[in-house]
Formats: sequence, C-alpha cells, structure tokens
Amino acid sequence: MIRFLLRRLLGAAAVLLALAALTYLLFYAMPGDPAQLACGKGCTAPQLAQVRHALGTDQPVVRQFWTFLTTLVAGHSFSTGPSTVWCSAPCLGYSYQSDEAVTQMLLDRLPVDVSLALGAAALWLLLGVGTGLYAALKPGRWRDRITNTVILTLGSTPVFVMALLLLMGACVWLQILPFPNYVPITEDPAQWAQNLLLPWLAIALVSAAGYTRLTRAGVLETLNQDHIRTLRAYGYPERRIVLRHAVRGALPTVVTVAAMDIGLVLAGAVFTETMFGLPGLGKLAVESASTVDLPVVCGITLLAGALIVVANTVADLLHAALDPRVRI
Amino acid sequence: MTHPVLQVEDLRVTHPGPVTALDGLSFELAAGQVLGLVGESGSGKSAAALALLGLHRGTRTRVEGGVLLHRDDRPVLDLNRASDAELRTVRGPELAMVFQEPLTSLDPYRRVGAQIATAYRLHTGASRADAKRRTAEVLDRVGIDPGRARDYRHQFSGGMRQRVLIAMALALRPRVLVADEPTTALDVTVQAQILRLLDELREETGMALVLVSHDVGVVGGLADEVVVLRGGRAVERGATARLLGRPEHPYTKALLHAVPRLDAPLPERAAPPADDVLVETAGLRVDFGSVRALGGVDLTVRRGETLGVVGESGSGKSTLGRALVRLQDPTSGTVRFEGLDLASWRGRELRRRRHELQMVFQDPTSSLNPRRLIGASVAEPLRVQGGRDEAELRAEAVGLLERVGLTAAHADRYPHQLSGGQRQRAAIARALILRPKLVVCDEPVSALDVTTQAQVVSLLRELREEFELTLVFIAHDLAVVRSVSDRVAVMRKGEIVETLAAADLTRPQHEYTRALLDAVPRLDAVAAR
Repeated sequence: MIRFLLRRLLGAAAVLLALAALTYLLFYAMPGDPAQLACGKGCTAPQLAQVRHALGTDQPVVRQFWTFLTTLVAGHSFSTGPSTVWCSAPCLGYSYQSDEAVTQMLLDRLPVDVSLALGAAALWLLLGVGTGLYAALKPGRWRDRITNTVILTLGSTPVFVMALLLLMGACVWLQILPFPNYVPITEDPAQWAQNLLLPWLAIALVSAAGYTRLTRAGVLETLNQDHIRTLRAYGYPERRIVLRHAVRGALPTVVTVAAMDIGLVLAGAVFTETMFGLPGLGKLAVESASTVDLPVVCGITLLAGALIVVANTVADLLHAALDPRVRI
Repeated sequence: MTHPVLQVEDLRVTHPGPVTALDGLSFELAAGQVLGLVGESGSGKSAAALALLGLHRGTRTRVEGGVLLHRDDRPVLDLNRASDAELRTVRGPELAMVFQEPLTSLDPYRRVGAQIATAYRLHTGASRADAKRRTAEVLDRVGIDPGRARDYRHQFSGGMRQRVLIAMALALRPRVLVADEPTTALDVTVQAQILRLLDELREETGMALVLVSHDVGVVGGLADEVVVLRGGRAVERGATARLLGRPEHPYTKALLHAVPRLDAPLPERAAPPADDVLVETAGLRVDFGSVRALGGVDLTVRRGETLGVVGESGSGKSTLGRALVRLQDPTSGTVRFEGLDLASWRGRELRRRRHELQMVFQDPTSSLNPRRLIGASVAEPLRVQGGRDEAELRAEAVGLLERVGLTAAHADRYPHQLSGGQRQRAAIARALILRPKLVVCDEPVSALDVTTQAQVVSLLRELREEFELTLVFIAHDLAVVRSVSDRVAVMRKGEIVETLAAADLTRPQHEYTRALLDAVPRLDAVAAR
C-alpha cells in the first residue's frame, strides 16, 4: 500500500514534469509574443525589451522552464511595475494580465469545479446505476430496450446542446428557475444548489449512459457466474440475488470509472462552465488561452494533470477496497 | 428398501435447439443411500443434477417428468411443478448442492463465514449470533478452523473451498445432497479426503447423496447403486459391486476399460540410453516474490524418453515444465538443453531454436484462440517462422491434423465447434508442426473424459515414436503417468522426492509416493466389496 502510493507519487511527478515541459514548448512555438500583448500598441523597441526582461521571456526557453520549476518549489518574487510581489511556494507563477498570483486564481476557481463535479457525480450515479439495474432485471424485454434507447439518446447528446435545452426549457419556456448565477456554498447553500441544478443535470444526463451500460453489463455478467447459481441452489429470492449480490459484482467497475470521471470534471468542464457562465477552471482555461496568458495556462494544465493522476490513484485504491482479491 | 426421500420419474431435460440433454431418467433414493450417476461430458449427468434442484428454471431449458420430494409430515412435493416460492423453501433445508468448481461457486466479495451464515438465516430465521455459532460448528465439522470464517474464497486452497461448500450445505442439514463432480478439480489426496468427509456426514446425518462424476472410481467408492448415463439415457444400472465387477452393457465395459489402472501391464518399450541427455537441470530454483515454487531441482531427461512428473497442485510441477521450455526464467540454477544453458539463448539464437521446445497445455479451450480457425492456429507457429505461402501453411497444418486423428474439415472450424478431445488433438498438432525435440505436456488429459483420455494418451505414444520426441508428461493422475512414462519423478513442495522407473511406481521408496498411491480410488477394492 505504502509502496504503491510512493510509486504513484513518483510516477505523478514524472507525468506532471513532462506535462509542464510540453505546455511550455507548445506556447514557445506558438505565434504571438506575450510581451507584445502586455506592452500594447505603439510599443517602442526599448519598451518591449524592458517588458520582455520583466516577464523573463528574453531568456532561453530551457532557462524559463527552470525558473518555472524553482518557483514552484521555492517561491519567487515578481515585480509589477512599482511594487514587488512575493509569491510563496507552491507558486505557479504570476499573471501580469490580471495582476494576480496563478495559484490564488486557481484556488478561487476550484470550489466551483468541486461543486460541479460532486453534485453531477451523485446525480449520474443515481441515474446510471438505477437505470442499469432496471434494465438488467428483465434483460431483452421492452423496458430494457426502452431504457437503452432513452439513455443512449441522452448519452449521445453533446453537453452544450443538453445545456442549451435545459436552459431554454427551465428558464425560458417553463420559467421554473432563474438563469444560473454561481453562488458559493459558504454564502447560501440553498442558492448554491439551485443555481447548480441545471449544470449538474446537463453533465449527469449525458454521463449516465455509460453507467447504465456498465451496471447492466456487470449485473448480467455476475448473474451468469457460478456463485450466483450457489445462491439459487440455497433458495435465495431472485430479487435479493440481483439487488445485493449481482450489484456487488458490478460495483468495483462502476466506482473505478466514476472516480476517473469525477477527476475529469474537476479538471475543468469547459463546455458546461461556458454555457452556464460558471467561473470555474474550464472557463479560466479558455480565457487565458485566448489571451496567451502562459503562466495561467500552464498552471491550469498542471492542476488538471494532478487532479487526474489523483483521481486515478483514488480509483485504484477504491477498487482494491471493493474487491478483496485485489492487493496493492 | 425403506420409503424413498427422493423419487425421480422419467426426467427429461431439453436445451434450446432443441437438444435433448436427458432422455428419461428414473430412480428412487432412500435416506442414507448413495446413488452414483456416471457418464462422460454430454451424457446429461450435470443437466440431471441441476434439474433435481429445479435450477433450470429461468433459463430456456425445458424440464419434464417428476422430481418428487417425500417429507414425513407434509404432502409429496413435485419440484418440477412447485411454485418458485415453494421451491425456494426446499432448496437448502431439503435439497442442497455441492458443485464442481469450488472456487467460482463461492462469492468472491463475501467472507465465507458470512455466506454460510446468511444461507442458514434465510431458512431458519435464526439470530446473527446463532447463525455465527452454527457456522463455526459446521466449519469445525468439515475440518476448517472456525477462525477462518472471516477469510475470503481466494484465501483457501481448492480442497478447503470444497469443504466450505459442504459446510454450507451441512448447516441446514439437508435430507438430500447433490454433489456434481465434487472432486474433479482436486488432487487425488484431497479427493480422497473430501469423499471420506461426504461419507461420514452421510452416516452422521442420514442424508441421501447423489454423486455425479465422470470418474467411475470416485463414484464406486461411495455409491450403493450406480446409473451409467450415455447420451441422456441410462444404459445400465445396478448395485455398485455388481456393475463394476460384472458390467453387462458394452458401454459400461468400455468405460471401465478406459479407466487407467495402476496394475495394468505396461507396454514393452526399449529404454533410451541413459548417457544421451537432452535436458538437464542443476539446482533449478524459481521464486515468485516470497513464494518458492521450485527449491533446487536436479533432473535429467534423456533423449527419446518420456519422463512423467507427478505431484499435487502447488508442488511446482507446472513451473518445472515451463522452465524446461524457457517460458519461465530460473531465479537461480540452470537448465541445459543439449549441453547449452537455455538462459544464454538470446535474440536471434532464441528465435532460431525456440521451436525445438514446445508445450501442450491442460485446457485446450483457453490455449486455442477462440476467434481463429483451428487450421490457422495450428499453422501459426510456422507462419511466424516465415518463408512459406498460405497454400504451404495450410497443407502442413492439414497434414498434422490428419496425423493426430482429425480431418481437413476440422481446419475450417472454430475451437468451440470441436469437442474437448478434438481440441486437445489440435493443440498437440500445433506443438508438433515445428518438429520440436522436446514437448512438455502439462496435464494434457486431465480436462478430458476417461475414454477420450485413453485415446489422447495412445495418440501421444504413437506420435513420440514417429516424431522421435522426448516427452515430459506432467499430471496428477498416477495411473495415467505410469501408462505413458519410462521414468517418473515425484514432486512435493518444489522438490523432487524420488525418481523411479514407471514399472516400479507401485513399489515406491518414499512415503509421500506411497501416500499418493493410497489415495487413488481402486475399482478392484470396490468390486470386491
């Protein structure tokens, strides 16, 4: 267990390092000069050089990358014109465009994604596992087919279309909900939930399909296994066999996939955030990419990478916890 | 005969197709009696066993006829006509079942104690504490430390798992226990223990036992009466001693004849010269993590000989076999093939000479690719070698298939369209297509019926002459090993305890070999009963 976690930690460090290097390289190779952007129109050559020096972009790219790494571990001071700002470790750099430390920017946005991911996951699990079970109870019958059709249709709808439909339906036609406007849970939990309801639904309706199929397949597969035959031979009622024992067989897979999916949403749900105007990481990523705000983009990429690595590790740990045969 | 507990009348089982699995089976069983159902795969014996508990319900298989359960104070219940609810109440307390695969028959996610306790509570409504007490009691009775109730199925050995299943049945004190191939997946010594346990429990509780097996020896030791099934029909039935001693039906005779016997005369065969060594291991050790699979094995295999390797599961015989063909690298020690250390074969050398070492595996179903035609699978090793076009590959493959007793038509079938014996023949053809010098057969016949087993064994005997093969024949069945081998190595816990000529196998030096021999079911002893 300890060895597994250590190995994972080392692996994660390597992945994140490669990720950071790749992001740097990509932006270095891209057209557009961040210094030019920061300096604005009518920038003279000496001014541009000055800005370049302040940003550090006059250094070779390897040097810049090294500075980025040392900053991450040890912190760094950034001069913003008249004053100097100290950014303490773990410092992901400083965004001159928004005059803020990147770490702080990310921390401000993260609660939105956590709210979004956890709520949506609860919904999609409820929906997906529920429909999967419903379908598995009578495989091949009409209710199995109808469930499959509905779920597949939902699952193949792009999330932004789903978001649009929900917004139009709930806020325009039926007018049962106001247009979402994110409220932190710390301010007003009821408002928080009300405003997140549509984004949750949008993600859950689209994601549930995978879980329906996983649950259905897992339950049906388990039902064909020998240990289920043992239960039948000992007079267990069929309902109990399905609901307690066959579900148990599908559980490890469902939970593992869910952990990884949650990681993906945490790392920024670009479409959903954009559609519902949620101030999350996905929206920030889009904005900073379009303004070539390299420190922010790099920070988001790293955080997203880290979240996904963590989600994978959690998935593996959960799998081991749920299946006594798996030892890590 | 006292009045019966279970009465089966003209039982018919039809699988969708329609395929008749069982075509009219009738018998009566009294308390404390043992009925043996014997037959090869496809004889309908498992279909019959499942039908006794109504386990075909909910599938597309149709069951006709009567399965009458007689109870002292209540009316006779016909399980085939009973409602689902009625059936559930008798499954467990009246009729219980033990299955062939003790591993998969237990729930992987639940502690074994909990599995026994829940089944007990389901029928008795006992409290948790009572159920726990009963679980401990029955576990103790079948020889498992009750403290292990908290373990999972994968933490037990095969024999222990079967004991757990028997304990689960025992907890409810059923009046009839149906055991479907209860020892087929187990070693001989463990098999003997399980059979003894079943017999003791029958005596203690007075339960009746239906013992289903392909192995006449297993059934013979316990059953009062034996029914021989073939193609869904009972071809012969009678008291065990009579049936085994004086079989009347030709099929029963053939079945008995095919059972490998330790006292059968060995075929005349010139011993290969002792100084021509093909493979030699020295201090061969293989560790898997902290588990020692082989602890320093010194073994020589002479050119042209057949060396048998016997031992229980976990004795390291498969690991040894894999090391001999370089499928397993030794932790230390060497394997020398024609004087050269196998570990020194690398890159081109390894590719060039790999074909000299081949292996035939136990389960031809899983060692043949289910999505490829038999012909393609057999030709694959040649294809990898390169330099031949499709027509040549096919000609070679068909030639070998014909040599192992199949036909060109089999080349165009998929593995699932062949019987177990035919699949193993195809697997043997694949091993031979590269004209190897050494073939290691790892339990090549243990998944097969006795009659098929006999055919495959005699095929191997012919092929080794024709292809001038050196064979290493790994098996847990001593009689089979004796019938093909020139010499036999007996393994235990990763070591070879003794190596002796096949003719001397029945006169072993080592006590472990003697224990193995004693565990083999003997037909003569039964017939003399």
